[in-house]
Amino acid sequence: MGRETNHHAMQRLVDMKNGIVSREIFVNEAIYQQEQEQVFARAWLFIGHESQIPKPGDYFVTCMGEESVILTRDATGVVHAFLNTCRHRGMKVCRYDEGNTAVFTCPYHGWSFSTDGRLVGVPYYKEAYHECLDRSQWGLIEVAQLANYKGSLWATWDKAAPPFLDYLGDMKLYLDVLLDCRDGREGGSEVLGGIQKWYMPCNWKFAAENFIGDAYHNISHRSVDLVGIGPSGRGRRDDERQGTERLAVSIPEGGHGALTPLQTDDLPYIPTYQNTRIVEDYFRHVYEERQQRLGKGARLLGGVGTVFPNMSFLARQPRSIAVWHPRGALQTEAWRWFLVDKDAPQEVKDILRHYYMRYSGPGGLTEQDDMENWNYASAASKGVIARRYPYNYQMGLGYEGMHEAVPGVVTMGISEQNQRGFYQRWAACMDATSWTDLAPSGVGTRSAGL
Amino acid sequence: MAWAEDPPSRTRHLLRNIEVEPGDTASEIKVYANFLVYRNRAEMEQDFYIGARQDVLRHVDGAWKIARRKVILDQNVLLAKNVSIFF
Repeated sequence: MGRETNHHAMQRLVDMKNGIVSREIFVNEAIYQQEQEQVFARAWLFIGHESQIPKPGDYFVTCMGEESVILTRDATGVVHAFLNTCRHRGMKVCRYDEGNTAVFTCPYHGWSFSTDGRLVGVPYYKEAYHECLDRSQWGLIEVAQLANYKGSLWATWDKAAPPFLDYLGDMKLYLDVLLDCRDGREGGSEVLGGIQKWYMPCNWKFAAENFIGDAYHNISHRSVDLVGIGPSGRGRRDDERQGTERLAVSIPEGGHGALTPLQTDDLPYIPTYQNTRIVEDYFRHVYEERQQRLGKGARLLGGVGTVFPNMSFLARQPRSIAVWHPRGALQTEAWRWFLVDKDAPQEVKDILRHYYMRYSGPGGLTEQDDMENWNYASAASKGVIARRYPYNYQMGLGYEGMHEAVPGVVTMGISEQNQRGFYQRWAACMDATSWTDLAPSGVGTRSAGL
Repeated sequence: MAWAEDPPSRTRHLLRNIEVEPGDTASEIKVYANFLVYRNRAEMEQDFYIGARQDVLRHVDGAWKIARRKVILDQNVLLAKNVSIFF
């Protein structure tokens, strides 16, 4: 389908004025193919964390949409992201998940590429190519732009895409709660343990919209609330939300969104992680440090969110990043990273690792029920009869407002405004022929009052 | 209300290469085994979980209880949508 799009074709499937979305966008293979071009080949995508490649020669094989990408740090320390394919016959030049190397050598005919992407080895260069091959033109294909934001690494294939921070817009404030130290210092996180990777039989947008702000799916997780898997052995997480407003925040000009508790006043610490003294003391200490360092800014506690299109996060409990890689209209490969402050005590990291596994990923007691819902919501929407009936996104329609303390479109409590913002942006991307059509409208682009 | 197991999975556990060692205390033993766990669920859900189990069993009131179980799956990208069963 490429960029020859029928202008406003998707706007007809995504009717946000009436809160209606066609099931076609979740099950239709032609729409899925168009997404690869219009969304994934253009957008800024999360590709990893700098702590995964600390030394020269380190690499981590990641994904951008359907495509395998090598994230690497070259001999001089510069970070690159390359399409994982040989320029000669397309063979994957790296088939490991991560490691350290001086060169990526293609096993097919032996072309070798340095960690800065240059073609440095061609067998029979003299005898067979007669020294006529212009090796400078046949290096690995590099992303158009790469950004390191507080240790999180992002890339886009589109030269015309706006700089990362412009793409993020007002979403920055909510992403910061994830990426900054628990005591309020900027950045300072590292990836804890390995990356969980698993297949989910659903459309990738189910996961993205769930994390952008579905505060309505409490029944999905009733079992863990009853069992008590939280850091202190109760509920899903230790409840830090006493004395807070629960906000749904949409950044419609970017398609991003988050749910976040916001304290209405400076409040005393609510004890968390109470099973282990050293861990409880740590969280109490960093909470107080954060209050002092950020002042009113510390009132924003942070929750779940999605950076358009497919990076989702939980900013605090459990602190993690997920990417929903598209693998066909009805298949998604989920990857989950867990974050921790690099300088946190080992006891804290150990307790967090156990809580993260208890909650998240395919074996996580919370997340395994999500997969069941996304699986059969996709399956039950495939049929020609089912496709005639759109999904309902009308919750809170017309009740969207603003908040004096935080940027974005804000609704107090439970609403589907964030999902509406996501699909509005998705439809705009699907219909747009260039980034010029996607210029920010200026809505909500004001600094936080915090 | 654990929807991942509602309706429940049908499972079959096949164990091989079972090794037993003395444990760290007199009431404990270490047990190592390889497993093939087949899961069928709902209409056509089908998963194979193959890997190794490293258990610590403790003798309590005349019965062996699982004190600790480490499961190592032989899959890099897990092909099952979730892990909602015991190994």
